Amino acid sequence: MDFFGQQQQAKNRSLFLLILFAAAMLFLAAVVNGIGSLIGFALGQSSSPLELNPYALFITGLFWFIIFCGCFFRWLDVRGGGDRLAKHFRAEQVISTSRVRADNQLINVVSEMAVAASVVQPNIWVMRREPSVNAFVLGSASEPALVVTQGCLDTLDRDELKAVVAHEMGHIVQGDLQINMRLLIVMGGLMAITEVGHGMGGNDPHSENLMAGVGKVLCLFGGMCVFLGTVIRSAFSRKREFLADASAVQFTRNPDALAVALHKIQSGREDRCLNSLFGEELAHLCFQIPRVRSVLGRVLATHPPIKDRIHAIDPHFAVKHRARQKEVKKQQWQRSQQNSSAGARSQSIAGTVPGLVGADSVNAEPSDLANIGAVATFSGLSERLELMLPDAASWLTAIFALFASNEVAQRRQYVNSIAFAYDKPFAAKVEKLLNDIGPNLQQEKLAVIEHVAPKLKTKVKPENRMRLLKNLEKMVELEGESSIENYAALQLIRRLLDADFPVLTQKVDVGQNNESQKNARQKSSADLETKMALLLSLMVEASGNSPERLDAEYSRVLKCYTQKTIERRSSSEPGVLEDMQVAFQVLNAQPLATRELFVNHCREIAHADFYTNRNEWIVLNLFAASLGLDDQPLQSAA
Amino acid sequence: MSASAILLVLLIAFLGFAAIVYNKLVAQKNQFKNAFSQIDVQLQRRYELIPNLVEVARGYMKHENETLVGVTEARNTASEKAKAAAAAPDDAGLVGALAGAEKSLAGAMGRLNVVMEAYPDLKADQQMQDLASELTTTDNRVAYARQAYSDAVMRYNTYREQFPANILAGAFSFKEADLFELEDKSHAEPVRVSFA
Repeated sequence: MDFFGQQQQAKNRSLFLLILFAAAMLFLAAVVNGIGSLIGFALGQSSSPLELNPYALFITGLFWFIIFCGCFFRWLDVRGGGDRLAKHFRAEQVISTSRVRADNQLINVVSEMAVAASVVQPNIWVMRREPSVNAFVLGSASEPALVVTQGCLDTLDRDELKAVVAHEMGHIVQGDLQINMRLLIVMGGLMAITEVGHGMGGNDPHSENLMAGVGKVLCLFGGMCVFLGTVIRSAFSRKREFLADASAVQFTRNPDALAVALHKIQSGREDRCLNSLFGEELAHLCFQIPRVRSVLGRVLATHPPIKDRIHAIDPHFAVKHRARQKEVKKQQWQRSQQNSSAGARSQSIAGTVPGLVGADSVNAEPSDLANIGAVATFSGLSERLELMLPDAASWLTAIFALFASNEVAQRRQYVNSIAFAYDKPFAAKVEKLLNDIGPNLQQEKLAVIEHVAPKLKTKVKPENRMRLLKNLEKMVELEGESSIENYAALQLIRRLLDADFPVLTQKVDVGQNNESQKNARQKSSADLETKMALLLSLMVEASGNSPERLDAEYSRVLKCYTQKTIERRSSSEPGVLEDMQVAFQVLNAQPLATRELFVNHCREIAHADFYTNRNEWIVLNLFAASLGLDDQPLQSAA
Repeated sequence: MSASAILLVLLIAFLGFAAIVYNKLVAQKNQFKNAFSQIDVQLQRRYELIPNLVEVARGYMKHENETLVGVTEARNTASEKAKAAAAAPDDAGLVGALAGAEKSLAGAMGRLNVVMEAYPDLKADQQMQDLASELTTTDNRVAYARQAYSDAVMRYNTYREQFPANILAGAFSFKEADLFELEDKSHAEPVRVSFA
């Protein structure tokens, strides 16, 4: 390592940054003064458009003052060390006494990589509310703090996590921390104007008063400053990312893991590097930024495109990866074949979809947070389904078979009513399917629906779809089992078939509808609280714990919304489903951000025991879908 | 300007250049020494874990005293050798002795693992599982420390042999550094404590 060269380089870079920052400030002053002079000229206060306007000079000074204050406060943070910064960015420190498996793994991985890179072991922080996959280092090389998102822990396996951590260690070894921290200070200053604008109410489109008007103008100039910051940031070489990748490979001696991690990020759905407020500030520190679509965005990006990075690691990665995946699929397929021929069908399906049957598959890793795992293994299940249900007729039978009861007498009745609604041969088919693989199908209700319904949609005409749904609904009602699970299943079918009439509404119409709609109109906060409380209690209940623990957990999460105590309700009570629908209606009237927050909170509740079981998964999906947040990443194969 | 002045300037320039090269040699030598001490730190950590592991295992296996004693002895030898080698990392003989002791420790641990297969209760013990995962990550760390050491040694050796550093290295006896390698590749594998 050439320390002298590096120190010189760092000095040069810092000088360059300073020059750019000064240029940005002058540019800002020129713009403000230009506008001021023009306005002055237009109002006839000055004789020429080039004459300086004293107000504009004052405003320039004010802006500079705000920016310098922003820089100063951020500088205080930076000087306080990496840990203080990490706390500022709302991360939680991971301590070595943690009993959570994923945390322990992270600690082990970081200490291994610190040894490999011969750097000081950094303190480890996790952004718990951050589903995106990212990581960055803060502080100085002698006291670094490594921040990892929860998404990293959930999505990546041990080797991939190691590669990501090694990349960050690479930044430490290269001596990038200093310049990165200085960039952070500059960004903090340039964003200060926007923050002041927001503080004055500039981001609220409804407020009309003078304060908000000034705030809006500030936001406008703040936006320009942020853009200047982006330009400054882009001037710092993207080569450092390639170098850090190279270091990561040197430390792990495992180029594949890094390439796979990058590939996973690339195929993910995230389009921001961090979902948190600080995304813009932290972009230059992050492990990755997602695909940038606009040309300008690409020119100003802080990181090279992921595709290029993968290419630099291994030019033939795509080909190899595809081959490997095929191999894995083949093996899964063979395994499931063997299992089913041994007559242990239910176990085999349970084995292929660990996320979905969580409650039954105890041997699945408790830290494995289901969702991604479920998607990854879904392909194996859909192949099996393809075999079990080859044509359109069998898809239909499968859909009906899903809702049959397991008790003989009730099942008899169910089949009879199908025979009544359609014809006898069809009912016989359903019965046969039930006898053959009924329990398996029902265990995988949602997965089967996700597989079958899109195909049905292409085969069945819209008006027939309606009939199909109505019939299904009647069947479920006859069955007398209006559980959340069935409700969720029906909702999913409805969504996937694109049929737009609400399921099970009749009951609401007859029942407490009048009152509830009035409530919905009032949108009183008390009402909203009870609705949320209902949804929360359902969410909490899905974890399947003992009643005492449920009560404790419920009161814990309820505190986030209200001081009042609202009794916990159970899904087995009569009428809960109707109330749930009303709750959805009420919540749907709320702004998108509120709903997003609520669903995210629910997701946290589901993950509170670091394990999402099948019921939790179903309820979570139902909430997300019913609140118009279908595109949430937790949505599986669809 | 007279010829002597030019000569003087050239001499000073030459000495300055030599000093830079010499300093770089020293820096690199210290770097690989430091890297070796990192291996030693991790090895010591492992040597501390093994007695705990043996203690927990002793509670379950009453009749396997011989194996446990074997592990303890191998661990003690390796620990001593590691201390000796850490004091003088450029002594190839001591490093070789450490590699040998490590080899016999790995063998003893391997036997212990085989024996442990017969005690499902032991494998299910929470403390044992914690120790096992601790041991695994320490093994990884030993491997990474060794890798970092090899990298440092390679950088040092390459620089030492290149012109013009090779002249200074000869004059000031910068010895060639040894890679820390286990002779038998089968024992280079980490100790495996599996709890399937």
